[in-house]
Amino acid sequence: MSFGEAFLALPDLFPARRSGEPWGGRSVSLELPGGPYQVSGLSAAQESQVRERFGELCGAPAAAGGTGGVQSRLFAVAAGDFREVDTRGWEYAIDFDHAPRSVRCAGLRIMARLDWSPVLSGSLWTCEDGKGRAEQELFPGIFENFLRVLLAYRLTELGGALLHSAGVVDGGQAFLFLGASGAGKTTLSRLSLAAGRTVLSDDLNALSPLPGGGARVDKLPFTGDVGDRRSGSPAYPLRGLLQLEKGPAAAFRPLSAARAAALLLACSPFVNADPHRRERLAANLSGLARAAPAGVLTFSREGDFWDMLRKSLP
Amino acid sequence: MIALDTVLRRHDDIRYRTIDREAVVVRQRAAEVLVLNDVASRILDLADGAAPVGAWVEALAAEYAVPRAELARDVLEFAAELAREGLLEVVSPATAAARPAMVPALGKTP
Repeated sequence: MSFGEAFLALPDLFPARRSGEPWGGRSVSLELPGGPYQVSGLSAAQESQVRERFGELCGAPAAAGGTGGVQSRLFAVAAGDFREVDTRGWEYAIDFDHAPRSVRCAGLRIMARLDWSPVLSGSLWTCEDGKGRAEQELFPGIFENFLRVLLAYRLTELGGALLHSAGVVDGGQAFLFLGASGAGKTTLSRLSLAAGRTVLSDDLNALSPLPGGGARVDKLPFTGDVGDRRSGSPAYPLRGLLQLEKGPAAAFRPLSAARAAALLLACSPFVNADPHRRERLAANLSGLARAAPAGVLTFSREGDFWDMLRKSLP
Repeated sequence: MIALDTVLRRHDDIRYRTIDREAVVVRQRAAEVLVLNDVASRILDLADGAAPVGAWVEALAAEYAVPRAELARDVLEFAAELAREGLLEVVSPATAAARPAMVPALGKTP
């Protein structure tokens, strides 16, 4: 199946450049790592929804249209441009097309492109669903999914990465627990929350190098079941990188830097599938894998693994 | 069959990076990540599409304190395994009988 066929009525008519009819004249500026992320072309309702979803992460309107960070535009297209998708039992997916200077994305009522001309910018095209519900029900999710992809690429070009992980703060330092869906990120997050730790997100966290060595973990508003989308947080120094395994009792075994880098690469969504930018990502992760001790953590629902973990990490 | 006079090269599809003597290998099309131990990592370095496997043995003999015959057997086994995994491809086939290859473990990450 060629790019966009599953989602678009006419994939060949995918916007070739950053143009179209804006939804309105409103803008928002999101204060996130690598930002600000300034998005223009929103309707009043869309702006309100973005502010409702991302709370204090939305900066002052005056910041929109400024310089620095990443600029994105939102455009309206007809509902007929998208195929109807039966979402019963469907796992969310986005179709990507990677090129040296752009990335195209197609999904459920979403067309988007990232362009490097030469700096990174984003464009998002979406529609109402024909029943006038788009702004009430679909837009926040569409917007967030676009933002996830945009951040993944932005963090990569800044030397970091977006990581499928649970980020947990213990003693003022951050641990990243990595693994694919079902590895136990949400379970571990709940256990950590119950044990008095702060959970940044149980789904996606930002990892970036620190100038003097080491790495920092930033909270992102991209959560599964644990974490909140609406508040900011200071960055925390990285204390450990842990691959999750479920087992009968808490245990730890160290990982080599190469295996840690491979783990990070496997857990870097979007960019790790991009042949034009995977090398850059791998270079970033080779450095980040050395920024803190790494290991495999086996944990169970019953046991407290934190004491063991603190004693095990060098 | 891979023998000491076989010439192999790294497959175009792979990209790799050496970290603390281990190699992190990405298969581009499959978006799959492998980690290779130090010997396999060195073999990837040596598989330049020009030098035969026998030359790899000579190079590695200077790095590992292992009897030459044992080293040659291990290198042939690794080369065969890496070729089976699609990381190496034959440029110039063997003209002599190759040893049967065993299968060393390659660590895979999720």
